[in-house]
Amino acid sequence: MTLGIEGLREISAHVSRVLSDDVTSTEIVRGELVARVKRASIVKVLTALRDDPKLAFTQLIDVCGADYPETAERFEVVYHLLSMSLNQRIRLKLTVGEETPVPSATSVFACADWLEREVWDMYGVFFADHPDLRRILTDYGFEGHPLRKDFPLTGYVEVRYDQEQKRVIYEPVKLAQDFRTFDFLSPWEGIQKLLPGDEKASPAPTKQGGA
Amino acid sequence: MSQVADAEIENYTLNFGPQHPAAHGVLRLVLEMDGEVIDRVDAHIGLLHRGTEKLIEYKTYLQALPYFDRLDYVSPMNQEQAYSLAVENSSASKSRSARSTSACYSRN
Repeated sequence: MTLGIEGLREISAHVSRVLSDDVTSTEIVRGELVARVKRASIVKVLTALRDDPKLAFTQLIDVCGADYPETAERFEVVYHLLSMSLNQRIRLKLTVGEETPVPSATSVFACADWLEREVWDMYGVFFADHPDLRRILTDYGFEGHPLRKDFPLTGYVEVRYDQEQKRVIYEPVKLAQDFRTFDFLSPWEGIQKLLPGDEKASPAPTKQGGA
Repeated sequence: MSQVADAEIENYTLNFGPQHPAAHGVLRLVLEMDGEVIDRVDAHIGLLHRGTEKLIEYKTYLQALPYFDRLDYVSPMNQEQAYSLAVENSSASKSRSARSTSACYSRN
């Protein structure tokens, strides 16, 4: 067992040798091992990473999604694994479209249950053979998948308590003010000579035009 | 007395929360009870979800930082550090990280 980055290189070489049919690429980016996996092979890869004594990635830390709308298969599902005996981590990535399912990892790691529910809730990635694929974080009766890039920041509905009906009601979202971005390099750039909206005001009387 | 002893107790479903003094925030549990023993729990964990990731999509890295204090009020600095390390490592800002987070918390 080698520690540190050398150990990670050994793991990288071992993974690409043992799982050459299922892992399309492995690379070490900024000291972290990233492997791209074929979608259909994810269960096999996770099982091999867990059970191979040279790897022993016994903990699934996280499963998360990513949305790249410009690519053909817009979503990525990312798995983070930890090998406690080797003190190493690996990141697995696979791509998936809106309609295609990803094989569920729940048979390999029981904790994948809630993690995959979160990915389903946030991105709408479907997991095949998941025991209980419901929404997990969003409201009861929520529609849409909020972390997709085409989902608006404000959402579509807002809630308030209605005094007449004596209950919380849902309404289409109403915005009292436009969205403002404050992307300045320093706070001193915040105050402009011409404030937003000034261009709509009538031009100030000039010396020439003034009486 | 004997009537009570013979009575058959069935499993029943109990709603816990979302507001409960023992729940440390908002958490709803739908508990399937066998007497005093919990057989099954359906946890509704999203009531405190504030969409931090979505909010951050519209912010600069520096503006996003305070959101991470709010993720866990017991250890706000841990959340901030994780975020700062992620930003510094993914942007490979060596000149900055030499002075800031990475230098204080070297990985290897």
